[in-house]
Amino acid sequence: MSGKSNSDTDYKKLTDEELIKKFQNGDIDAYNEIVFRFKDKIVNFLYRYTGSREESEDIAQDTFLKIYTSKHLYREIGKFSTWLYTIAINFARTSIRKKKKYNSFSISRFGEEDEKDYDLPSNVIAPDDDVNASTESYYIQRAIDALSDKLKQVIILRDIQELDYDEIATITDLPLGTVKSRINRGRECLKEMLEHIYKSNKK
Amino acid sequence: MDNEEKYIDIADKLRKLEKVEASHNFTHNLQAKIIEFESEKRKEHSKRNEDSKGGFLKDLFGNLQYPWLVPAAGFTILIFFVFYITYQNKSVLEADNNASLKNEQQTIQSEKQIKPTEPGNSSDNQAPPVITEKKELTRDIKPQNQQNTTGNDFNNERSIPKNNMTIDKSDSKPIYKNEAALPDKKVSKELSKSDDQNNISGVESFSENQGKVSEEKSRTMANVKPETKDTNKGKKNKNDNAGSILLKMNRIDKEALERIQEEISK
Repeated sequence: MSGKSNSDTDYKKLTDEELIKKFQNGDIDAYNEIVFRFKDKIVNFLYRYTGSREESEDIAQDTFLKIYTSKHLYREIGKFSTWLYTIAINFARTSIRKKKKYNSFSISRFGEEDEKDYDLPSNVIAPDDDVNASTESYYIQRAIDALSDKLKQVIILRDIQELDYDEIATITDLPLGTVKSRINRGRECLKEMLEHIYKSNKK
Repeated sequence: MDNEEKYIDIADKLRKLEKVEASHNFTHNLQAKIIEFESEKRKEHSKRNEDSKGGFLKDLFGNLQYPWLVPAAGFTILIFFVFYITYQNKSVLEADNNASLKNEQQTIQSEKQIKPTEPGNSSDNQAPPVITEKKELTRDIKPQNQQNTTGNDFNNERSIPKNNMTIDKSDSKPIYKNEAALPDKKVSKELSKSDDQNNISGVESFSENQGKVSEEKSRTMANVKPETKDTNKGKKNKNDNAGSILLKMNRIDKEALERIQEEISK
């Protein structure tokens, strides 16, 4: 990542918007700071969205590359993080779509893809009574994977990435009411799924 | 808020999920991707440059970097084309005019060549000019012969300005207003003397094809002959005097002239 750099500037004190502005003016250190600030958040979001570590890193790199190549497209009318998440979510959707094309689709989803909000996750690995956090997180991740895309993205953005409702509405390009209702529906689905998993494992 | 409280457990669980971090080589891989992208960009740029070396027109329209140039260039070419056509036509017209001028000049030259053969100017006993362009000659001779029918050389327009004479249409004889414009007496005498010989010699010099011309010339000779014969009948001096008197007059009346001639003859 070559380019201009300003050693006197303390990039950590700068806001995201200031950083992207500096990067738009050719300051490559500002870009490095953006990557440093957002790489974990984006990878975490994408991991929860795709369920794959490799894929999430790959998509996150593509997202940062997009910012590098299309820095001039950012306008200071919204938060930089919103723009970044929008790019990331678009890449993630495209990736999932491609994946679906090549993988054989689930028989249970056939014909009722839009109606059903989630698939019941398989409980191949049954958690023990003394369920540790890692195992629980695994089940939660399975439950999130089972959610439909429209519920998944709002649940991740709200409960994992802890973004505002307004910000989520901007990223997903949905009305605020729709976002709220989808979040509630997603939580309900997750609750049901997790109860089902625990019940089946207890039996 | 009710919904938040309702699903607080699941929300907490989701929040407490362990945060996945980017791998250590994340930035390295990202840097590699950026370098790859920039190299591709450079390749494309160099390829574009190579393509743009195709020529001036390719530079202009090849990559369509300046799409506004297309209508502008088209319009300019059209204007140039229109101007080219108009100027080309102008030059053609000028060439035609020049050619016609040349032709006129040639005819004038040929006229000049023919003039010496005229009876009035043949007093120097010059040889008839060599006729090169028969057509022009025939064209040019006719009006001269018509003028020659008057039987004298007073109508030589070149030697006398037009302003100084009026032509009596009935006789088609020029009548001199000013004495200054009149030809010398000697010349007039010489002309009258050598009329016969020169006219004959001038007419004979023409080719046989110009029979009409010769006929006309012979007619003029016939018109002239009586006067010249009279003068030759021993009354040269008297006639000369009368001629000089007549020449001195600003206006020559035909009837008066005839009367004078009759008196002289008496």
